[in-house]
Amino acid sequence: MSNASAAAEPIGLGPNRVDRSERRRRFLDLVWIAATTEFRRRYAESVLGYAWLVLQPLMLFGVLYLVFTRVIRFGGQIPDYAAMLLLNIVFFYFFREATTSAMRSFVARGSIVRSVRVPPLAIPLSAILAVSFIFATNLVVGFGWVIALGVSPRLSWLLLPVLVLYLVALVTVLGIVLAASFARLRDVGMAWLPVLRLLFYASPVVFPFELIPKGFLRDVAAINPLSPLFVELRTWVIDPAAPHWPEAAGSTFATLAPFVSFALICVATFFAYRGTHGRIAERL
Amino acid sequence: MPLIRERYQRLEVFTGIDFTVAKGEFFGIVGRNGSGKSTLLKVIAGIYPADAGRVEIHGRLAPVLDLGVGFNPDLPTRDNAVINGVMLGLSSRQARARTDAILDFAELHEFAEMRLKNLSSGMKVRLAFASMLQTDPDVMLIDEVLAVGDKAFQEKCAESMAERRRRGKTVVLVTHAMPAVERLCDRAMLLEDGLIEQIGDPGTVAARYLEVNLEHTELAGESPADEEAEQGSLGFVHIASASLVDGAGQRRATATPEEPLELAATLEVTRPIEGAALQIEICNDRGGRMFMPPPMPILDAEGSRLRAGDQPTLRLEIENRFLPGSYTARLSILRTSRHRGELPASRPVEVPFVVSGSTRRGAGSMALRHALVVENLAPRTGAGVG
Repeated sequence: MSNASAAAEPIGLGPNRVDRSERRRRFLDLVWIAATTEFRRRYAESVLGYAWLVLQPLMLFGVLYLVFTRVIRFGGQIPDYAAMLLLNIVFFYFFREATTSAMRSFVARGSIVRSVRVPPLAIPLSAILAVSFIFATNLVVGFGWVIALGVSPRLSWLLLPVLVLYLVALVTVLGIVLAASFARLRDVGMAWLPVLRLLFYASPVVFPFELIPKGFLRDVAAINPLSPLFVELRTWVIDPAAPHWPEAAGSTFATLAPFVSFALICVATFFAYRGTHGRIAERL
Repeated sequence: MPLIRERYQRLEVFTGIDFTVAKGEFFGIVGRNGSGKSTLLKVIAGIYPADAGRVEIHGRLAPVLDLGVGFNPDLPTRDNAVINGVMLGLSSRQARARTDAILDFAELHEFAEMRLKNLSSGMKVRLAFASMLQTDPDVMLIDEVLAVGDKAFQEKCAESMAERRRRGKTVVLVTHAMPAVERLCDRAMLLEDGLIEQIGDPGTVAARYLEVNLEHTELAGESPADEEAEQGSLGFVHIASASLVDGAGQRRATATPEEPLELAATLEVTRPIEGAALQIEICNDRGGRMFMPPPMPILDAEGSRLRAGDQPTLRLEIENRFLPGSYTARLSILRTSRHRGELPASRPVEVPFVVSGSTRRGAGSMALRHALVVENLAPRTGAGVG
């Protein structure tokens, strides 16, 4: 059955289809819907539902508090050690969950990537956003614990968003490079788990940075872009007498090293993403 | 260190593909499995990049390559309607605003708060299809997802697609269902090995598709009488070939309306059979049986046998009362057992064929002669039927 009259008429909105604002709108919609879906899915099956958002960190912090301050009595000489540990764990937990979740995002949402045209960045970003909802709740509960442990609120707490933004930026670039690499090479997933474990012990999460002996070891530890984050978190939130990053780092090289690392990760992300993003659907 | 080397096979899916689909057209893409139909849709949709060339689309496009993209079984039906709508191109606000319409169309309002995993598979595809229709793009790419649900829902979907046509929306449809191509499409294109084999009238393209399929079935030596069958009770006769033929005995895949259908089959008898008979059944594209006469004895004399090594050719002529569309003739050989009656003696062979022509001549599958006589009606005044 042919319809000759239809053949000559051009289709109406002009070449390509969606303007920039429409594309931005679609990008944001996709990130939001995918993130909220993932977030809600986590709690959909449980009886207590979203109450676990508060209960889980409460229980985790309770256990950590008991283990580190009552059982092995670690960090007795460090002021407000328990509070420092709890907040550090909140930040590192977000780093671990967000990077892992972003890394697996293309593969986990392969059916979407292969069936509809989605801006590739929307997939890992939605995975990070879903974990961010949990991070936000953990922060609220964590600060409750910190106050309960005797740390008084102070003006420097207002600087916390700087640290959160730094962490989110780091997690985002790492998440993108990991997602692009994992879509191409599954070995990346195998390698990332031990790297995370290494980072946990190499970062000043369970100990203050200045406990690392000065010299080579401290310089190496300073390459880790997480190091200045945990140092400033302690100084700004827990103990104003603790050293700031330049002082803790101990040298100009060590002071700049984590930011150079961060910049190198950004460059690697740019090239990895540029080389992959158009062909992700084919690689899955 | 033993490393697993990543192996790539470079596959050139298309070369020289160039075609245009006009606004308001319903365009079908057909082809055998692996001919590149779905890949072509993904390239048009921007999911796969083309190595060279250009795809230009005017208007908002929604690819429907899979039903229920983004569905999450743990979330309620209503939320899944929103998720699917956004995946297909609606904004969150639009998707939320259209949720009731989606649930109404899918007839799932009473299940709106139920988790998706508790719905039947039929309900899920209804929801997915209803979401797809609500996206209302200018150009819709559909991959084999046109007929879902029960008959009533299918009719509703067909009406909705017809309404899209009336509003000048464009649809590019990939399918193996030739009746759908003939019924719905304004034009169609046959892909074969990454090239355009034919483009134009959907009836002609559908017929060519069946011919190509037939050619490849023969080339591949696909014979229904496989070893397993040969060893079992079906292994008395192998139907070596079966096809629709013209008056000169040449194979063909199409017949014009009312032109008698002539089927030819060559048998290879592997074990002696008593009372061998040919059984034929003709079905329409929905599997509905259109015609099945009693088994026809191959040898007239009672007690005669087909002997091992016999290779008889059977020719069967059937009156053609079929409406344009796709049909399948299923041939098999039976044997008569004194104790157990008629038993199959060969594996059946299917012969697909198309009755060409416009499907606008009526619905159904049969063109039976009919006449309307009106009586006891007073004459009308004014304009009447001339």
